Formats: sequence, structure tokens, C-alpha cells
Amino acid sequence: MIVLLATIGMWVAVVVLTVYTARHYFFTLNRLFGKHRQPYVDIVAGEWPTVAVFVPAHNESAVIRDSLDALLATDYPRDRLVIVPVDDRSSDNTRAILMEYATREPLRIRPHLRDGGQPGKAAALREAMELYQADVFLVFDADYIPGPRLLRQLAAPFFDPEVGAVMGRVVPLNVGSSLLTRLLDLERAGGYQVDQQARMNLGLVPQYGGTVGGVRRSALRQVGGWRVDSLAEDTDITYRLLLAGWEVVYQNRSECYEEVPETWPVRIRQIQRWARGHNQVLSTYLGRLIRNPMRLPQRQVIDGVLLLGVFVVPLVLIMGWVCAITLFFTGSRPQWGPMAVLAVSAFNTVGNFAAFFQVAAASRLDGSRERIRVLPFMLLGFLVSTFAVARASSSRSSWMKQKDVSWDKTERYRGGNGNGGSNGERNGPTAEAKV
Amino acid sequence: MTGGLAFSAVLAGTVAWITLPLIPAIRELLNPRDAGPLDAVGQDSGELTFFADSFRQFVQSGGYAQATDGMMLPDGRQVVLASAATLPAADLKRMGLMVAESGATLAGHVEYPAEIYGNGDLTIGAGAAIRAALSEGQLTLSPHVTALRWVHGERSLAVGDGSQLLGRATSRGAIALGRGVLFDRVLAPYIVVGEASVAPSSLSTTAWEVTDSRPKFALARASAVLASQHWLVDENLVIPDGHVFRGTLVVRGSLKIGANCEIRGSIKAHKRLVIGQGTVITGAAAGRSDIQLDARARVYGPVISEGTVTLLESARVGLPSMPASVSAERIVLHAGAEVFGSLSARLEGVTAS
Repeated sequence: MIVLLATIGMWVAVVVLTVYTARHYFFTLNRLFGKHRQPYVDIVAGEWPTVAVFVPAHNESAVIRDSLDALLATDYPRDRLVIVPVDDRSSDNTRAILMEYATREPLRIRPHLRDGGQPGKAAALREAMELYQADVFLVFDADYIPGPRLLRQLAAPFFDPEVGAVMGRVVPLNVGSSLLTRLLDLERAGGYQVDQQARMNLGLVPQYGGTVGGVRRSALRQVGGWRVDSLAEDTDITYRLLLAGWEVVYQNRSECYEEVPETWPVRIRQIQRWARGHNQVLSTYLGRLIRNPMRLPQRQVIDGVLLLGVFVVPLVLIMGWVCAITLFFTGSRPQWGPMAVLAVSAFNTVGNFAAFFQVAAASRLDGSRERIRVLPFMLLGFLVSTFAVARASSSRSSWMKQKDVSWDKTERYRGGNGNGGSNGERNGPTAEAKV
Repeated sequence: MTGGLAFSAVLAGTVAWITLPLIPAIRELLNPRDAGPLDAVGQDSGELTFFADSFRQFVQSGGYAQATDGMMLPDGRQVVLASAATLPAADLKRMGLMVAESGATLAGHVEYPAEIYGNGDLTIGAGAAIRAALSEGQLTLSPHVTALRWVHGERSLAVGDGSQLLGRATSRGAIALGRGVLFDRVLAPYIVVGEASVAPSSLSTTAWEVTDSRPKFALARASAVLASQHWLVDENLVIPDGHVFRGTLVVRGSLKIGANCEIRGSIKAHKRLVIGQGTVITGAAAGRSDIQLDARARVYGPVISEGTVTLLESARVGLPSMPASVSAERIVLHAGAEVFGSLSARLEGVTAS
């Protein structure tokens, strides 16, 4: 019985890993040799939609000035832009800073201050967005620093009436702080430059990542607004828009700086939070996606399913290891002897390097020559992520809707204090690079 | 003993082999050479007049606009003054910048290797090849001129038949494109295929009037309501001539809009999109495939295609008060086609011969 279960478990792991390995290579080869699809990047003239930029904040005094200054310096038409910092019961100086900016720029900066209601980014956004009628809602976390043209770049895709959400590219700012930040820099590059853009190129499912992006107000309202019981409201909205017939698009040239975690415990908490949120979305939408009531193209359904499963893969991987070891010690002989040995050798030669290949390709596409040298250390990052995600994915809470979602802090490092504010949520689909 | 040695040797070799790729990694970690943030944020030169504006600033801040004989650039290359004469080849080889007086005409069939600055109106002779040119007045490119990087006519830009604009062509006034002109990216308040003197005189500056007795088009089968007045249609769709439709349409098949229709919203088709003669779209037109604007068709918002956009005779995109972009892999403009805004052809733009 044990042998049978271990055999099944191992083959499930082999199939899943083979599929995801093929996916890595497919995306990477597409980025290296395929057509680069960016249909909205050249739109420079048009009746620009009205835009409300929401900046959710909870104890962000260390970073929010930089973010607001950068947003005020953007070239978006002044009469079509309002910036709404959403302060959710901060206990530091955040609120005073927001009021200072509101006094200085009363027409463009309109803080939304929360002292009650459900805490958390999704709840804060949901409450604030109901007060605004702009055509497009953009969201930036409080540590993000957009370039001067970014708002136009993110608004341009909404001229396309099928686009429900847009996602820009996140670029780490504190790259040189530690080995971890250097690894996350590479991982982000792989996640955006290759993974997201390949999905865009192939007409698959680029993912809205909750920041450096936005949604069309009418689409958001049509699908019911932000879910406040989700740990990954960004992934959640991606799938609800997809299932309602909207398109989510990715803009690789719409870059914005962010801070990434500098210490491993912070990173582990972050990725476990992503895993739990993502798995909630998996349990909620997998069935509907497979039933495909909107008659989405099959490629989108398949990609959507694979994207939903990325945080389950580490669990499957560990299961495969356990099953293989079990089979070894029970004396089981590999099925199809030489073929199995050949397959394992082939996978070790090619499959294990899929994610490294993706990151290396991304680094090359970015024109980074030296930073790729730290690539071998990514093995360390992968192992940490694998066990952290597997642990999160194996917990029961990972598959349940949350009753009490609150702010889950990711430390800020700008200013050197490391104790800044918070950011409850994901920064895009970058965990993909670790699968 | 021999077995232990062999084992140790194999082990040491294996460890060394595994450690090998870590050597550059450790060196980079200990002595970082590329640990700054990616230099990408805000670094795009997406403003189409970026090069022209930078060049003007360079010329004016360096005092080259009023250059005198023998003036040199900091790198030792010559500032060449041009009036109307043909320039000797020797001068061109050492040329770092050419400054032309107002009204100058540069000789044709010459390769000008550096940027040209015109204090007023400037004409480039037929068959010339220029790197880049900025005129503070009207810039005229005679037939078969090749511009390798960018051209800017502050007041207007006239492009002769058969010219090639390999890069950016901009003006703060009007751009008139001749026949058989190749282009990549063009920006001006008014772009027309035809005579430079053609002006957008008779255009309304308001988007549209809601005084219409034409029949309203009703969707027979809508796959989904995406939002209020916003529909997704799962099959090919034809809107008959002379109908009005209020709302926004996304069609997963092809979309053909008949003549003299009016769509009060935006449209998108996954397959071919044809906008009939004299039809007006008050919003944007997007397509995953080709888009064709028949004669006198008008789209007030941007036209975005992942295939070819064709503007037939006197078709129009944008309004004087509402500029719009045309962005596609290929753009084909026929005589009299007008764009208030910009053209961006990722592979090739061309005016009909």
C-alpha cells in the first residue's frame, strides 16, 4: 500500500514538475525569440481618462513623502488626476504628512483617513474607491516611486475597451543591501521581464499585482469590487475580471521602484502570505475557470490554471522527494528501469535549470551584465522559498476565506530605520520564478 | 588506503566542480560591480520631441545658433554654416553641426553626417540623406530625402514624395506627407497626406451632436454585459449602413460597421475591423488584427491595432481639440487622410503612392 501511494505520489510530482518546467522554457524562449507585444506603449495622445491614484498606507511615515512627491511630479493632465492616500489607522506620523500634502496641493491630494471598519489594504481600497468616480483607479503602495510618465503609460491601455486591469513592472530599489535583495532583484526580473511579458506576448493571463497598476472603475464595479476576505485581492480581481470577460494586460516599460525585503524572516513571512492568498484564489476560482462559462480561449484557461497552482508546486515537489526516498528505502525498483534513469538524468540536466535559465534570460534582456554572477546563490533562495511556501500551502488556513484580514507588515528600509510602515500585500507574480 | 584516497579525490573534485560557478558569484558579492537598481524607471524618451528639444537646448546654450566662421564644437569638430550653396565634401567630413540661416536650401544628393539646425525656414534638397534636422520655421524635405534619426519643423514640416523618415518626425504645427513616404513615428497637432496648405478649417471642435434621426442598432445576441453600456459579443458582427449605436462594443470575431453610422462609444474587434464610409466613432477603435477606416470615416479617440491600420481617402483620426494616437504594426495612409495627434508604426508606416 505504501509503495503504491509513494509510486502514485512520485509520478504526480514528475508530471507536475515537467509541466511547469516546460512552461518556464516556453516563456523564456518566447521572450528571447518571440514577438514582443506592447500595443499600448506608443499611445501618446488621446482624451485621457480621469484617474484616481490610491496609495494605501499604514504607518508609512518613512517612505510616503517620496511616493507622493513622485506622483505629483508625473506628467498626467492635472485636471484629470486626483491622488488619494488612504491612511488606515496609522499610529506614526503618516497622517500628519498626508495633511501637510493636502494643504499644499488641495486639488490633487485628497487623503482618505480611516479609524474604523475592517482593517487591511483591500478594505481600505474598497471603502475609498466607492467615493470616487474616476474612469480608472490606479494603486501604488506607499514605498513605490513612479517615474514622470508612468501614469500615462498605465492609463493608455484603458483606451482599449476590453482592458479591465493593467499591471506595470516592479523594479527593486534597494538592490545592494544584502544577498537577499540581490536575489530578489534577479527573481523580480525573471518574474516580470520574462514571465509576465511572455504571458502578454502569448495572449495568456498576465496578473494584476496589486500595485503599479490599476483597474477600470466600471469593470471593478461590475465584478463586485475588492474582496475584503481575501489575502490576495490582486490575484482575486485578476481572476474575477478574466471570468467576467475582461482582459488584464502587462506593460513591461511601465517601471516603478519598490523596496524588497532585506532579511530572510521578512521574506519568508511575505512569501507565505502570498502563498496563502494565492491558494485561496485557487480554491475559489479553479472550478469556474475549468468550466469556462465565458468561453475563454483554451490557452487562457490552461495558463490560468497553471498560474493558480504556482504556490502548490513546492508542496508537490517535497511530496515527490518524500515518495522517491520512500520507494528507495522500500527497495522498489524504478519502473521501466533504464528509461526512468534516463528521464531523471534528463530532468536533472535540463529541468532543474529552468528557473535559472529564465532569470538569466531576464537579466540579459535588461542589459545587466554583472548582476547575473550571483545567480548560483539563487539555489539558496529557491530552497528557502520551497519550504516556506510548502509550509504555508499545507496549512488549512491557506485554503479558507479569511474572516479577519488585517495589515500584514513588510518592513521599510528607506531612511535606515527598517521599522517603517507596512504593506500588506503582494507585489506581483514574482514568486513564479521560484517554481 | 587506495580506496580512501580515491574517494577523497573524487569528493574533492566534486566539491571543486560544484564550487566553480560560485567563484564569480562570491567575487561579485564581496566586490559588487552591478548592485544598483536597474536604470529603467523614468528613463524612456517616450516624448517624441525629446531629441529635437534636447538638440535645441544644446544649440542655444552653446551659442551655436548664431555661429560664426571657424566655430568649433568642444570635441573639435566643425560648426558648418550654410546659406544656400552646395557644401564641399571636405567640410562635411569634419562637420559636427550645421547651422543654416533662414530660408537656406541645402544641396540635394548629399549625405549630411551631423545634425542640422535651421534658424528659420529650411529646405533639404532632393535625394539628400540627413542624420537629423531641426527648423525653427518650416522644414521642407524635398522628394526622396532620407532622415536617419529625427526631423522637426517648429512651424510645419513638409515631406516630399518617396522620402524616408527613419525615426521621429515632429512639428508643433502641421505635417504634410507626400506620396510613398515611409515613416516610423510622427507627431503634430495636424498630420495630413497631401498638400501642406490643406488646413483643418471646417472641423467641428466638439465631439458630436446628439441630433440624429437615424435608426438605432440593437444587439441581437450579446455574450456578456461587461459594464453599463459596454458589451462583449462572441461572434462576427455587422452593423448595417446608417445606424446609430450608443455604447461600447468588444467583438471576439470580426466587426464591420456600415457607411454613415455613428458609434457613441469605443469599439474593439479580435479579427478584422472595418469602419464604413463616413461613419463616426466617438471613442477609440482597437483591434487585435487589421483596422480599416474607409473614406471619410472618423475615429475621435486613439486607433490601436496589432495588425495594420489603413486610413483610406480623407479618413480622419482625432480632432483639433482632442488629439489621438494611431498605433499599429503597420500604418497605411491614403491621400487626404488626416490625423490630429500621432502615428506610431512599429514595423512600417507608409503613404500610398
